[in-house]
Amino acid sequence: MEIGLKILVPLIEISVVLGIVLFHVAYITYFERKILSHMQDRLGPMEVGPHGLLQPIADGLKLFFKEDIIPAGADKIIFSIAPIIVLVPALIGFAVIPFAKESITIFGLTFKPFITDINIGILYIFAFASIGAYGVILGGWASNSKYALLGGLRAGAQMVSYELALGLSIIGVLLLSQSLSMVQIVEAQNRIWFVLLQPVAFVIYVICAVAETNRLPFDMPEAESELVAGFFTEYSGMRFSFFFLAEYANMILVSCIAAILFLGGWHAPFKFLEFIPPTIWFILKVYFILFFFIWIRGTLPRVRYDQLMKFGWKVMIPLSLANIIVTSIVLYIVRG
Amino acid sequence: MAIPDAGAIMERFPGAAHENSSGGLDVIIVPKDKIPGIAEFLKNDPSQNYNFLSDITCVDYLNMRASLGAFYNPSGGGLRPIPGHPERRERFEIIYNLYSIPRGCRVFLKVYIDDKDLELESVTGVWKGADWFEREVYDMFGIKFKNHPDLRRILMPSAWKGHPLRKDYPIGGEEVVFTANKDTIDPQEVDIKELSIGDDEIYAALMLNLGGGTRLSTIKGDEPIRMDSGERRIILNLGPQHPSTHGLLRLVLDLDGERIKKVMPIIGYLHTGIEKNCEQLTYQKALTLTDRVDYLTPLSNNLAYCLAVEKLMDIDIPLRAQYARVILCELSRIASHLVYLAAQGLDVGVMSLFFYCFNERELIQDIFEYISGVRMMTSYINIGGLRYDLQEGFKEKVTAFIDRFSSKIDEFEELLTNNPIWIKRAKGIGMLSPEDAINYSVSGPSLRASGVNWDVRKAAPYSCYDHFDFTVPLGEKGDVFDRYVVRIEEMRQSLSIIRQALAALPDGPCRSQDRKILTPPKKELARSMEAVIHHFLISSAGFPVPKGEAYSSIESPRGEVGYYVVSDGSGKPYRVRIRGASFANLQAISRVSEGFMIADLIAIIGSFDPVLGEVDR
Amino acid sequence: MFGGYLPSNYLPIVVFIIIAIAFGAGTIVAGYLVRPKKTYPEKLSPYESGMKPFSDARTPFPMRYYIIAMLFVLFDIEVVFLYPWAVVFNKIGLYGLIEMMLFIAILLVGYFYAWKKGALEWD
Repeated sequence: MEIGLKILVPLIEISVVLGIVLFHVAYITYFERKILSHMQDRLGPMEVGPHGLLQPIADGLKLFFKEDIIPAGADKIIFSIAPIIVLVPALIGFAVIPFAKESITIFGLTFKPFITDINIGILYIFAFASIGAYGVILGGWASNSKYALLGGLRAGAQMVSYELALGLSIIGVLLLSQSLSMVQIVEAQNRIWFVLLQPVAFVIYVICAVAETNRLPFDMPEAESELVAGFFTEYSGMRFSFFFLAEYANMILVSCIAAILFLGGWHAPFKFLEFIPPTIWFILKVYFILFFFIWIRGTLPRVRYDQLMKFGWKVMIPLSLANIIVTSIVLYIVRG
Repeated sequence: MAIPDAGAIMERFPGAAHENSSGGLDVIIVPKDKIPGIAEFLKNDPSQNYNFLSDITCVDYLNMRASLGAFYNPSGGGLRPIPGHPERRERFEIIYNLYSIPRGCRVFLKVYIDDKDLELESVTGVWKGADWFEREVYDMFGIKFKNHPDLRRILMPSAWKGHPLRKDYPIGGEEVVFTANKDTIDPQEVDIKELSIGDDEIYAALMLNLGGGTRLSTIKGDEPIRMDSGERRIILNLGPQHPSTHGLLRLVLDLDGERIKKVMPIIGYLHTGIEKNCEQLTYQKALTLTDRVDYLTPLSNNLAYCLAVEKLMDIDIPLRAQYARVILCELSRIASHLVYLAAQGLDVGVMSLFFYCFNERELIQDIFEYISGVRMMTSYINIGGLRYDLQEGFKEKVTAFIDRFSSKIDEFEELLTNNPIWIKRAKGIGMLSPEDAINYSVSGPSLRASGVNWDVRKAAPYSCYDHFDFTVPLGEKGDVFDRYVVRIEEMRQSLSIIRQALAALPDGPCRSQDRKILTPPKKELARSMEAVIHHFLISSAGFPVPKGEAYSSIESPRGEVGYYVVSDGSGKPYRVRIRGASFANLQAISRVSEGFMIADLIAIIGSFDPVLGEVDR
Repeated sequence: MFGGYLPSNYLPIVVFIIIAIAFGAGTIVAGYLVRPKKTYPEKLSPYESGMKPFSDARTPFPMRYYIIAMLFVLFDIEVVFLYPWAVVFNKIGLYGLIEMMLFIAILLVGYFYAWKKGALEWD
């Protein structure tokens, strides 16, 4: 019975989280199109449903019923599993995200505000996130198309380079929170958000997060004006949509992490605003960062690939190392 | 007008003759074997200094001879001499159109070539820009240029049979097989397969060009093409179906990683035979084809064509029409530069700019629609003036637009000019030295970005451009950034020109009252039989244009657009040669992009702002 | 059931991985039943701007990418060391701080060596 409950509760939680994430992935594409459109003096999707609200569903259905082409020269097995290798890490990262403060009890079952709280939460997310890079490289390589290969190579080099700076940038937060658990990191920000104590780390994190999710201005791997569609040039139908899903799921994931590590998770910014439920605060913060992602896409040009690599290795990494050194020394002095 | 130093040329090169053609061209007739020497002399001699090769083209005089009473003898001996033109026995006439940027004068060299001996020395050693011009002459007329580095077809598929611009080339309109005549005519059998793009020849040429130990093991049939390559290189097709080649342009890249070792442009995917088509239509109808040459600025092409025909006919254009033409052409320039800006922005990923620019361009199209009823292919500038008078309220609409747009340019600039990412993407990328720019026959903003001050509007003002006060913006380094800055500034100058022209726009007729080209007014048609006949003749056969040849060149948004029109005295042009600015500019792309990365190449293509309609015609 | 070795906190993750893979595979398999399958050689040829590709795409590519991958491995190990250090920073005191500074200093030496050697240049 106890084992049964141990399985049942997470199962329900996983289903709910997966549903919410997939729903958000679908609608973040809609909001991206809408927000970009309005930034660009146009309307965006308007035809499917009121104000195009059903557009993501129509898109999903279309992709589901589309022919799935595997090019003749492709490595069929790798080509087929690459999208799944990309998608799975993007989804399971959400297992350790705490969405709210308190557990809720329904029908006698206690649901925690997260699927699980493991003591290496953030490490777990990064560990799995780096598996996604394999999927991208393999997908690009397996296609046997030069555009895809170039895109895959770019993606590989870019993702590993920025993963370093990303990993280094959060060490400042870990020094402050003294924990890798997502729940404890949020609780450590009870008094003050880490963004105020670690502004440099926050900036580095956001820049690297944009690069990690291959978004403009760092969308090298799929720069449509150069490499047509980069590593997923040859993909179509459902497999194509997996890369797409993964990109947006990753976007939401890094926004969640940013909210948790730097913006105080579900904490309200001020005491008098605590009447608003913690979940709402968390969602608002995530939406704010997502909006930021879309906003810069509507504003900035794309950097060149070598400039991107140079920036990553010569600016981001030294800066994040310096941040660690300064933070640890200051902390040692302050804490005595 | 005779060029002052024609004497020097004739003295140095015996056999050369000076001729003033009826359209006011300065022509030097050059013996065939003297062409490289005289080209070298004209370019390098300080007293001549014809550094810019505007165009090389050819006219096939096969039918002209016939119409003048001479006959063409296919069995040899060329043409019978024509009274008054004893030297013109040969069928083909090659025309070298040279311009001296420092001296501001133009000269035409003519070489007569008999179709028994179609070989001619290439001038690619003198002007690099001659490369594509000579290839086009070879493609269209079958003139073989000796010592040309890569003489292949350029616009037609490599397996094409015949040379389309020759007068004896079947143009359709041949007798069609019906049951009634099927025994009397013998339909020529054409193997469709042979006419498909001849990949094999292109690939073979590529290998020749790319060089360096690469062999093609198989190039035939449906098998994939494989190259044996000992080196680490990727040969990549960029285009024709690629999001950022600005049309059906194909670039074959030889890559080392992402760095470009060599670029080979392949064009002709949008070739529609406009020059040939013009020969089949009356002067008035051919005008509509000029809209399609450079579809981003149809009015500039209308104007260039009309100016050439008007030169031949010697018509005076009313001042109102001339000013209106300036306004319309400058509006087109802004519209075209907006498309440049939009596309350049999209190339480097500034998506929003694309929409902002197109929003503004829509307003210009609205103005065009308001006055002519058509948004793009207006054919509004007509032989003799404008098609009809400007609509009431034109002034107000244009004023409203320019008032709005002056602040919009600043907004657009804010998005790019000081953006560090854009500066890094554009500064120092694709640099074109002034010498190279001239050598490759680059014109327009791309030339001026390299610091060469040559704007046809200033150097040889047409349509009253000398009445207006404007400056010609120049760049320094000739990189992507300079080409951008020059175009932005040109839009500002265009606004200023439009403002001045609007303020000074006189009243009066909008078209020449010359009854030779005008259909009679409607009220006459009801009374006068002669008017009806005249109306009928102009509408069906077209108005006759005096025999002769004329060249007009204008400053289109992309550079020098020139129309070389030859008339045989009938209602249809004998030959219309279109010197497209993009065609020449595109040659420089392979020169400037070597050593840069793929992403830079995309920015470079965008910075030259090619319009493939104008390249392929 | 798991002998206490595998903390039960990790069980949901295993379940989640299985569900995620099942979601991915299931969607593709379900799609297989309904989507059209009309292939012909042109459709199956790799995209190269509408032209026949010149050569197999799997050509050797520049060393640059390998160098980046090697550097990544080196630095990633550093990051792995920094995580536990950061978590127990309060407990290990000055000794830990100095140790880690030394460790970072040694790495920086290598980093600047790579920089000077041009390993970080993209040319």
